Amino acid sequence: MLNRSQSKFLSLTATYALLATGLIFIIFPYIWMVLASLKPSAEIYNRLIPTRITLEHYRMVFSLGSTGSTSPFVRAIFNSLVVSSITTLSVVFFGAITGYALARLRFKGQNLLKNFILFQMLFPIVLFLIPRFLLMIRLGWINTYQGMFSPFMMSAWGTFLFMQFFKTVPQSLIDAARLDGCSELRIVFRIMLPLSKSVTIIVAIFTFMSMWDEFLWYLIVTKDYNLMPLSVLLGLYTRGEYSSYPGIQVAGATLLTLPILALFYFFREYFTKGITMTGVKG
Amino acid sequence: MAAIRLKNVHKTYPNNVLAVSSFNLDINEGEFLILVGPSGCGKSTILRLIAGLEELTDGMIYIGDQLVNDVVPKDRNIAMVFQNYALYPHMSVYQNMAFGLEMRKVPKTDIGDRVHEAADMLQIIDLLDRKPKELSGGQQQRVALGRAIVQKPAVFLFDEPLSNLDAKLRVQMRAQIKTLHALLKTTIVYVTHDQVEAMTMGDRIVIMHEGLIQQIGTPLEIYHQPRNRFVGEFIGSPPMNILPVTITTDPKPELRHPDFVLPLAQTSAWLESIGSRQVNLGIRPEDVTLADPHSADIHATWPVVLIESMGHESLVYLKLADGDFVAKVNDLPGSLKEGADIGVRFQLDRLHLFHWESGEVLAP
Amino acid sequence: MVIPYILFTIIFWVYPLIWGILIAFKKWNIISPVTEFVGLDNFIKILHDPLFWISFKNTLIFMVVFVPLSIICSLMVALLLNRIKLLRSFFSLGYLMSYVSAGVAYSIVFRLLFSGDGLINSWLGKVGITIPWFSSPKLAMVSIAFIVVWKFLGYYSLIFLAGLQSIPSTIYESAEIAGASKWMIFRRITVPLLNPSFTIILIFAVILSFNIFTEPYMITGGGPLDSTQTFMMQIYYQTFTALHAGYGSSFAITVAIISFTFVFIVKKTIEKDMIYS
Ligand SMILES: Nc1ncnc2c1ncn2[C@@H]1O[C@H](COP(=O)(O)OP(=O)(O)OP(=O)(O)O)[C@@H](O)[C@H]1O
Ligand SMILES: [Mg+2]
Repeated sequence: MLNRSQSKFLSLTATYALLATGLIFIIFPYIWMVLASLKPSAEIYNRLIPTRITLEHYRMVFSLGSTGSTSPFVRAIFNSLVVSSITTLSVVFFGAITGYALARLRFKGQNLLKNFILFQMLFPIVLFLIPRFLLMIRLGWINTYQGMFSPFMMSAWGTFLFMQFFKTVPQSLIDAARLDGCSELRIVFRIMLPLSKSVTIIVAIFTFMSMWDEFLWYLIVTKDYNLMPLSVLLGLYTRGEYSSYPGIQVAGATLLTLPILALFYFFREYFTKGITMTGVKG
Repeated sequence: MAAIRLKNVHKTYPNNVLAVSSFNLDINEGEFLILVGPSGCGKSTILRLIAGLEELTDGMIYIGDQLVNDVVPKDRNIAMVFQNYALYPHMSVYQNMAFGLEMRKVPKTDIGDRVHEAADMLQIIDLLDRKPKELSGGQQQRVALGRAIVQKPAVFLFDEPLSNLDAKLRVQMRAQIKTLHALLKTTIVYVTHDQVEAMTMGDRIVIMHEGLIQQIGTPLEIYHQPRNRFVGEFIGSPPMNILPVTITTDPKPELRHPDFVLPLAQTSAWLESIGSRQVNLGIRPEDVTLADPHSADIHATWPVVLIESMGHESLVYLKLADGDFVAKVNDLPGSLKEGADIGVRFQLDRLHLFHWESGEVLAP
Repeated sequence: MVIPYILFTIIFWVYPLIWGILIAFKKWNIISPVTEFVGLDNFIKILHDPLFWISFKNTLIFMVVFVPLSIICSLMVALLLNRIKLLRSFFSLGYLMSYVSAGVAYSIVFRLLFSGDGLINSWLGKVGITIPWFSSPKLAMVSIAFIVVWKFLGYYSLIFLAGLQSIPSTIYESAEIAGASKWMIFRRITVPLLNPSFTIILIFAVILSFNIFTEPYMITGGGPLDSTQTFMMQIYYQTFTALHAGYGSSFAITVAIISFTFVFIVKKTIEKDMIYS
């Protein structure tokens, strides 16, 4: 028979062993991806550990494109950064001011708007795809940056999060700022946002990530390879021109993954906080 | 320095709470005015109205000669100190004090000078680089004061600034604020519900209850001539004893209580105007003396329930048929002990008579 | 300060929503300026569209695999994480790593990794089996469900973990003193008290099931034999390849209604369960 502390030790060991095993399943695809992007094409399918490391796929990725022009991949990374960054700034900016007004000001129709924001979150994205596309046609925004980011510039979710957090800031801080001569906008950016660092970061990283990851919408509104964000460009290349070049595909996939992984690494506690706090963004 | 004038001020909050009504008050230039009253009586509302943080429902507010009804808070030339200090947690002490000046586009060097001057006055020079959460309550309080002082406003508004401090610090800060006032001579409106602060700090006291002014006066006026039962009971600790009595004129003017009869010295004209009726008699605990039950000149005899001695003075709790009575005395008669009877003598020139229903004082 | 939000919402939310509903009753090929009002025809057509029913079936297959599997696995991970103190945040972050992978990227990875002659099959080949993960019509949708489980495992675990940690330990202690077995405690205390976490995860999972697009688009293109066609793929093809905007729109509305119904059913059942236990 095992005594109490022995059996406790065993069960703890088993717990760690199980967790570690599971973790291998989670991480294995990443490991495979990075390795595959670094090995000769012939080994991608049936070897895990490469016989030699090569950068040929990355060289290909960065040198593609007609002579003299930048590689479409480089442009795509740039496009992704532009679209994701603009959206992120905009969601934070407008989310903060709208959330502030809803949480701390008084105006006609305030409750209506609050309820409407909750109501908005019930509607599935599928309902908006087609009419927004038609709207982009009407606005002449197909194949433009604004076509890609405009529908996401303000988010009910982000606004709601800011609103919830701003409710907890003591009224006297706002009063003090008003007496100190702050305009309402100043109060938001000099007082509320610095006090809500984690909410701000959470809204920013989740917005950035979802825009970086977005596929369907970009697929719909961009036909011009020069303007495509990386996700669509990679998707189309994988299904088209480079469907028989797995090396390019994995190298592209690695490039698509790494920035978000880096973001994840630097803001890791905010990812967990964001998920546990709100259970947001499925 | 500026005088403040509130004319017929009303405030109804959006949830239909009538917080303040028919509020008329003239605050003199350089005056230290105390607003006091129970929780929820509208003290903070008055301050916030003066500051412009809430909009008037009705009435007029002047600061100096200017009607400020439509002036935004920052242009009212006031500074406010909050109960929870309201220091910006993400800014250092220096930044906290400088922020308002920065917003008003005061030149950088002037800001530095003014912050250091105020910090010097408050002895917080060493704290300028710290964040608020690295400060003790008393230090935070002084920073909050400093933030108000650097503005060089015409009016200071204080909203229960000391209520988060422990007793000892409170005494210190009380003195410090009084010193500041003597030095700066800025008009101060000071909200508190601490009686000691109210009685010791201000030139005048305004007593509020349910949004209405009950009485305005110097601390001594308020103490000695409460205008109604509420004021009488509110000021003074322990509170004034209230006993139901009857005024009679037959056969001679007297106050009658089941346990005692007191002569009435008022003029017959007054007595006539009052008639015989039930009133409430108010007697402060310190306006009685205790004596041996068999002494000649006592007014009543009641059993002692409890004696609380605080050294130089004692509280003696007595049991009446229909309530309690507290006496605050310096000399304890030899026969005083819990459970035994004791004789009580009222100071007849310190009696207060309040109207049975309205509570208004029946002035002689 | 709320005016930008209101304007934005009117232009990019209310207006599209209404427009979308209106064109669902029209026949329109986007290019031509003429639209023809056809009443409920589009909706009737959907009911006779075999691809609608195939997509429905595939979505159900996806759900039947994805929902229980992801919930069981993530609950297990959460229970394990809840037992440890040392390295807990290391493991939770590790599991969350898959959540941050981009849809296109991990679709490429899994397609190659699980392809007929890919690494997994070449390993399995050593013990004499190969599994046609994405090339068998029977298996393709299931495989897609697997990889989506991979993506969301850590995410759901964290929600469960937060739920577990909000259960006060005194409840466990008193149950233990009352002599309840481990299983009884789990069944009678943990599960009911995790109800909010279950609800939110189930709702997320159901909504997600109706929105699957990137994975089949990238991995199988809807095949083999339409076995991985999803609603989103249908809407995409109808509208953006076949240019039937009206039909696509009514398709979208139908899907929204179905997914809403599912969410509603989930909510009601779970709430009932709560009262019952
Ligand atoms: N922003 C507000 N909205 C609605 N009602 C309010 C608001 N602020 C105060 N009130 C109400 O107005 C009344 C007066 O409030 P006020 O804050 O002026 O009281 P106070 O005298 O400062 O009390 P305390 O001593 O507790 O600070 C109270 O009944 C309060 O509930
Ligand atoms: Mg108050």
